[in-house]
Amino acid sequence: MSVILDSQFATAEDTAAALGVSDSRFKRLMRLAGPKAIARRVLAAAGYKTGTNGKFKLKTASRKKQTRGKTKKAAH
Amino acid sequence: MAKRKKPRTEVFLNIPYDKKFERLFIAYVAGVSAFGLVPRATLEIPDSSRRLNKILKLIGDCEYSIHDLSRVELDRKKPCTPRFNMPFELGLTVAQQKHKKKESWYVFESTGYRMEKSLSDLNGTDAKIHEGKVAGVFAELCQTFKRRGRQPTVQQMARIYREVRRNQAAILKESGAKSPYKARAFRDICVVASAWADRVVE
Repeated sequence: MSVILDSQFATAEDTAAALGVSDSRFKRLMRLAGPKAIARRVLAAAGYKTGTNGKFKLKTASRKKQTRGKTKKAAH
Repeated sequence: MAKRKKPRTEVFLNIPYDKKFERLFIAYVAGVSAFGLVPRATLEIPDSSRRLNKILKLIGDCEYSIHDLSRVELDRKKPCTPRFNMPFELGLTVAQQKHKKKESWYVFESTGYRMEKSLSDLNGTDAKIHEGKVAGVFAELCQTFKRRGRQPTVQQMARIYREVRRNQAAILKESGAKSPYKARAFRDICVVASAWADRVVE
């Protein structure tokens, strides 16, 4: 036999309040489970790297600049 | 003034805390959160001399309780002992609820008819058999709870489970815990599961 629930649907805020999670930790957890974090994870899996100012860079674009000419000779 | 709905409902999770049970532990948290319920466990209680009193209070505070007896078995560490915590807490719950004249405790098992053998005092109580599978836990939770309006599907529960599992490593790293069976990690997992439930369940 099933129980029919008639209580309020507990939101994340309710759960945090019931379990005694602090406000700052709650905000951190919301960021962790938020859409931005998910997008970052999906892009990371696809081989993209997040750059500054929220722009996405290709992994190849973030390679170190190749040494050329005199610098290269000196390096060798 | 419009009649307000009952405040959030809490569910006491009486489950084993071991590595092999980790997936099912997250499944219970995800499943319970999907129904808009708040999972509670003895993990929240720090070890102290008054632990039993705190367990009793926690059981009393929760409207429903789920008791998983699937790992009431001998451990490999010597001396080999069965695990009594889960049946003991089930006994405390039954006694407390008898006193309050209500019966809102549910027994979950992995193997059919094993409870009748290991705990024959509960004969006549239908154990919910999840077969040690995450999907089994979701299916049995769907059989146990119903919610008007926001009724979660097994697929939605599975989505919440997947998202919690994805965040698990980050949560454990931030709380400095090696397993989710630590107070802070448990709280964080519950909040993340609840956030996902609110987002996923329509």
